[in-house]
Amino acid sequence: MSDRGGPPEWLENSPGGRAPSGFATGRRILIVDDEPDLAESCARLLGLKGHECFRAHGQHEAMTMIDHLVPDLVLTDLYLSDGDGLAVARHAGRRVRPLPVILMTAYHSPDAVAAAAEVGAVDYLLKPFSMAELDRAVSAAIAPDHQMVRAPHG
Amino acid sequence: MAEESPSKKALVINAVGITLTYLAVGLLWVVTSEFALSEMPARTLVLNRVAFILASGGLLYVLASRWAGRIRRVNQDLEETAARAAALFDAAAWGILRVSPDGTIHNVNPKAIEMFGYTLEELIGQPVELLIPQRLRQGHLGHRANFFSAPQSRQMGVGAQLVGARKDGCEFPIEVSLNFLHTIKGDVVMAFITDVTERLKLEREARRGETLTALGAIAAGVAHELNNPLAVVSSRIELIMATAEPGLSAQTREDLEVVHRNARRASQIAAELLNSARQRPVERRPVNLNDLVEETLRNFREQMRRVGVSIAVALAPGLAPIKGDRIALEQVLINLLANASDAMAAGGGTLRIEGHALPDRPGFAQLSVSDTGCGIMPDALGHIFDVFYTTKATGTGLGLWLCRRIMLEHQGRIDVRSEVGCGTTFTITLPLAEVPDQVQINV
Repeated sequence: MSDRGGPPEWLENSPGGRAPSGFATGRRILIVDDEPDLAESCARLLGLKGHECFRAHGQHEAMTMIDHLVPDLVLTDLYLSDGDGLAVARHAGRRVRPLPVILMTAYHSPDAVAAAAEVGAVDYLLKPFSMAELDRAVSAAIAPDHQMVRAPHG
Repeated sequence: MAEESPSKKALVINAVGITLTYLAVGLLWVVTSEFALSEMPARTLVLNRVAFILASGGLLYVLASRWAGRIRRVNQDLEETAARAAALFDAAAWGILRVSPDGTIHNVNPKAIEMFGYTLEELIGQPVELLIPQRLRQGHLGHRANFFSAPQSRQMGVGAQLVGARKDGCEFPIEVSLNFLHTIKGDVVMAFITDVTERLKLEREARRGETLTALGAIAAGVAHELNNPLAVVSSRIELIMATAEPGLSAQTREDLEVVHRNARRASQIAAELLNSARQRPVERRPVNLNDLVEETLRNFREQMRRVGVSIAVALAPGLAPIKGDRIALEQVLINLLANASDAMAAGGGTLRIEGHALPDRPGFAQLSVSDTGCGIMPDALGHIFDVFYTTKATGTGLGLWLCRRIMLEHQGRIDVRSEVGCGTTFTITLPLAEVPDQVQINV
């Protein structure tokens, strides 16, 4: 958060500034979380940064949206009420052009970190994360060179 | 059996003796008493009588020897039973007391002697109340009278925790089972006593383990269930401040920041609780203390600089690796550094980290973290390692408790020295991964 007045740090360098102007520099991001309020928070934040956001609330909805919308980035919770964020991540990784995935979780454990590494997630966010942290993770994930870093899965 | 017991021999001799006596008396009868009176020819009469005597003598012999054999077998059984009983008595895992109805100890087995610390002579003839704590003796007299009024074999004091007292006065938990025997020599009670100190300790440890596991599960659940709503709260506050900022009064802004800060703090508490309750298998690997300190310190340098703290590190070069769990030890260091930083947050100061092997305690290394901060009040000093004890407004009381637990898991220790206004020094002592050579020579 900024100290006094002015826009917060994470908003300062957004492509569209305070009012996003279209999607020229923005990316298409799928946000998967069974907590609709948090999914909306993330969508609004990333919207401010000029990205186009879609929301899915479960594993199957997320997989269908990955297939039909082909987003540039998937941001998914590790635990979903109807399944597993890891399954979503694997599904995104099985595409011909694998999609970068950021995992979010409210329950930090060494097992979860290992699982995230195993499905090839590019980042791992521990809830509650700040908007600045989310912005950093997303910016790094959609940086052009990231597609090469990520090992194809399967 | 290789050796015939004297009683068995006596029995055989008895049987033979009885038969011989019978034959002798019979013969005397044949030759003396009836001769003159008989009308039968003397020869026939003598033969008849001799035949009768021999036949009945033989029968008697058979009967007598069978009887002797039976007695012998019974005797053998008795001896075996007695030997077995004696072996059981001597080698039993229970302490065994033989007590008469008036409460006098008649015999004790070696286990009971070992258990209570008296000698055999000190116990025999003494009242059984000698073996229970002074404060319980009066009550026991009543219990004993009760028992002998309607004696039956049973467990003693079911549901109550029985206590025995050693000669040196130490008390220990026992279990007693009472066996009432009615003998021709009088009534007797065999008391079988088990020292349950170890068992109770194991049970307590098992219960503690269960509690910790349950606490871990609860903490994990709490952390998970709290973090989601907290993420919503803090993200929405950030969004409000980012988007509606021109319309926000300074007061609203400040309020939002307080809410935000506290949401973060709540999740931090949940994370710390989760961290401290997690049952992680402790690794035992060589860890280079100097590297560990440098790496952990790297994350603190910026924070220390901000609050005006200078850092002095004095690590003995080439300090031998200690044996432990790197992640757990890093946690200890982080907690100590965070505490030092908090203690000096008001006015700056010097953080001093020293690490060296212990010359007077070979096989151990020591690391101390000193600050020149506010210090700890003397009455708080004794409690700082207690769980949930904290002197900080935003503390959780888990940090130092966790440090101490980790050090105990490492067969190490953590000590503190503090003076109000001068500063605090935490010292941790850890075993080296390998015992140095000269120690092996000394040992």
